[in-house]
Amino acid sequence: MNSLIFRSIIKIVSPILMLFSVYLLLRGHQLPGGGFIAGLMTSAGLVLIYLAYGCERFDWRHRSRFFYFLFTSGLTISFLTGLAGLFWGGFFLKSGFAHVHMPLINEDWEFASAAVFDFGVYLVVCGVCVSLMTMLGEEE
Amino acid sequence: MTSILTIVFFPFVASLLILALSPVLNKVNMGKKLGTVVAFVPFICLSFILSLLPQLKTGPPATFHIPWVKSYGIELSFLVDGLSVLFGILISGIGLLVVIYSIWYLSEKEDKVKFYLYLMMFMGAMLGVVFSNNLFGMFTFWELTSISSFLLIGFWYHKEESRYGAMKALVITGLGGIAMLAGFIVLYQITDTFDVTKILTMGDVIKSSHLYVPALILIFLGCATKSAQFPFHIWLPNAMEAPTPVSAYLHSATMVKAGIFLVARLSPAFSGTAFWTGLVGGIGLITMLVGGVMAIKQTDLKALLAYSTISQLGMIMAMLGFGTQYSGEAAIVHIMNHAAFKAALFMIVGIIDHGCGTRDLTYVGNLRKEMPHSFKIAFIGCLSMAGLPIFGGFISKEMFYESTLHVPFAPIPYLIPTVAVFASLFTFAYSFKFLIWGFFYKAPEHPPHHPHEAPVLGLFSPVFLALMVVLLGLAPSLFSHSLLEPAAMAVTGKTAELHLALWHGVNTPLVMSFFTVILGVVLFMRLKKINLFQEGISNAVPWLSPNFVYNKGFLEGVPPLTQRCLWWFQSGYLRHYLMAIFSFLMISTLYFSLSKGWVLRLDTLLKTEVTLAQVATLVLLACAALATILFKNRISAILSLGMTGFLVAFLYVLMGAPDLALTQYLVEAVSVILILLVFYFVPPYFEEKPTKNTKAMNIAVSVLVGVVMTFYMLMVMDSHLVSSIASYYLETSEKLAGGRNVVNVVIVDYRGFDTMFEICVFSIAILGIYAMLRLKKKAKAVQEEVPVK
Repeated sequence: MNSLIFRSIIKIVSPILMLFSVYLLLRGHQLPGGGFIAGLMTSAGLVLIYLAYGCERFDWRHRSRFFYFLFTSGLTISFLTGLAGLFWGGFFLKSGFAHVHMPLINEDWEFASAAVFDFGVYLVVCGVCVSLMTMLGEEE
Repeated sequence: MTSILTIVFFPFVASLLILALSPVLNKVNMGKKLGTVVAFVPFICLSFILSLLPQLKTGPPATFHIPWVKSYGIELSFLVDGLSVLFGILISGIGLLVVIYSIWYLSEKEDKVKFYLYLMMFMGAMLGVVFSNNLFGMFTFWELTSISSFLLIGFWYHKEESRYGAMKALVITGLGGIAMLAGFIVLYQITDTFDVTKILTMGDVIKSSHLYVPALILIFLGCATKSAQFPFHIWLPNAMEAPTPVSAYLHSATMVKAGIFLVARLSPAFSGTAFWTGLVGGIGLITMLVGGVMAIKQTDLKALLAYSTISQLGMIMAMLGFGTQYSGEAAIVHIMNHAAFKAALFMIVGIIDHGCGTRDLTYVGNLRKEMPHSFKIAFIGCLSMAGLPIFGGFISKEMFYESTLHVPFAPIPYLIPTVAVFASLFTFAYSFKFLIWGFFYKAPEHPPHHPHEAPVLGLFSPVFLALMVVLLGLAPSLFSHSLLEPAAMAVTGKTAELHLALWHGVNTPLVMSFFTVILGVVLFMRLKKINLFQEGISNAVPWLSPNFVYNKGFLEGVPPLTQRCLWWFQSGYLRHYLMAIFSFLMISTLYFSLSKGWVLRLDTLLKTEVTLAQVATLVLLACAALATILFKNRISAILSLGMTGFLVAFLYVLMGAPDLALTQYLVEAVSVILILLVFYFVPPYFEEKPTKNTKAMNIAVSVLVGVVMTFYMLMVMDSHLVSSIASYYLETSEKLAGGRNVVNVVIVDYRGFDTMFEICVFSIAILGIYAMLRLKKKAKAVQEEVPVK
């Protein structure tokens, strides 16, 4: 898999994939996308980098701690969103949203508590997939 | 109503604080400081509860609630009435005395942080039980008391007996707790509410319901296990392995009264039927008798007190079971008396244990010279326990006798009073065994240490309790008006007026007391012979004891059984699990759709439009699926499996579901790569040859899955059968959640809880894989270390 062509393509494609995944995450509440899809897309990007470069460029093993941290923090964020709902909304995971008018671009933007929850989902999916990959890859 | 929140949650906050500070606390040598600080917790609770006293007489019971699961009527709600305040005072008051006592009792090397952590947790849980106004809240606190009791019994976990006792207590009270939960749910079927105050007003509905008997039996199972009623009493003697302050607190004064409390709490709604009297009163009397008979043969003072507690609990239970107004009042009075004298006696046993190095009557005796103060306290406590005049125990014993004379639904006249007197003989005998053998008779052997008296700090609590015992006898009116009457009112449901006095003139109870004393003295004189006889019986027929059932039946019978069950369905082969899951799913699906009377209607199906692109994709999909099972090479099989996934995703695109398609594509891409990584570890070709039977099984299950799913999908397409919820989401997603992407809104807003658990499962899965890979690595390392011979 570590042919020159593949590596060159990955160099260009993976940043685009990452950016696109963030785009998917942010627009999730309104248009196709969301935390789960975005998390999968980010991990797909990372998996591609792994396939192309293996352990040369990144020392994945040393980064694995970071990936464990990712999914635990994702879980924490989601849970805290739930607790926030309990405190302000009356019950666990109660969601809320507000439309805020953005001055310069003259558009209504929607801010939802669910987006924070979704971000937690994103971190968990991403963290789990990549941790899994590094764990299995480590064995080789 | 902030005071009630303080009362219940302050101990929990305190235990959390102890937990949080434990790294610091463990390092410093704190001596007696921690206990002194902790003593303020029960003190504050006690003062808050005492401040509730004046409102008991004036107003109706106050309630206070915080919603929890609204849709099921589950909430955290609290009720302040006479009964809860009485128990609250017992819990926090004796809690305070026990903490003070424990400052002296616990030696330097004990893990005090853990001790006070568990103790405060228990206190909070117990206060929660008695103040709860919602059955679910009560159940939660109830289970917490079981758990903290387990931790406290096993406090000296390095001892085998402690672990055995802790386990036994948890198993028995835990099983009872589950039965009680089932009982609460049955009760909910009748009353449609979990609210205690509402349930108490629905007594007629409950008693006339056909579910009355099952509900009562199940709830009573919980109460009987917790309050150590026959035949579940066997855990209490083993629980005596706990440190003595714990025994004094949990296993005599408070936790074991939780069952009594619940029976008392629910008695306005449940009592007054023959079944109630037979069950609660009958079990109570049997327990009283069995506890007494067992108590007189003990030589370990703590075991003697444990069995005497069982007997006394049985007596209180019996009074509640009789179900008359008078017996309810008597029960309340005795709860108070028993808590006072029994806690004092336990503390004395702790002092004896400390002073002599043992508490066994074969080594301990004639202590009245060496321990003069302890002797006085034991004297007061024992006489009160035996039911002799001028002490509180006499008043409640008289009331008990009086109530046995008027038991409704009594099968044979004079039977119950006779049993009561007979059981009381043993009470008299074990009380005097404690007193006379411990403080007058010379023991056959010498104790390990020369006996010495405890310092003031250790004596403070028992002296205070002994004082209460005397006050309860000489001036009961101090307590009766403000505290006991409201409590009795909560139990009987009627306004109570207590006229407690030592002297009521010559009447039947006094005659019964007189007989008890005379015959009790005779029994006490013959005690050694009777003990030998008892020894003979228990050696000849060991299976008579419920302990035999627990040890042989439960401990030796259940684990192998569960292991066999586990091995049967946890074979360790993924294919077996998949087969079980799929066949169950298919059979239940089939059952569901058949029971609903669903049929496949061809006419609507034929109208469905199918495009050429869809058909082509489906054909490719079928080919890829077939290829997956036919390939001999694993890599090819995985790739063609991925192919089916991509084709399904393409079908989603054709049908206009971009979200699903996107997810499916990404899932397939990532999972194919991950599976390829996994398959690095397995041989590249399918090598094992399945037997004919396995093959036939596999084919049968896959055909079943294919057929059932096809028909099910086709039936679901027929919109007559199920009403779609899609329109609800489409209409409300923007209004309620502010998002237009319905799929995502469902995931993060409507069904956020599901998603929460999904990501939890995800994380748990990764932890499992991590552990598995790590273990494999370790096993490898171990193998390499061991030299091959």
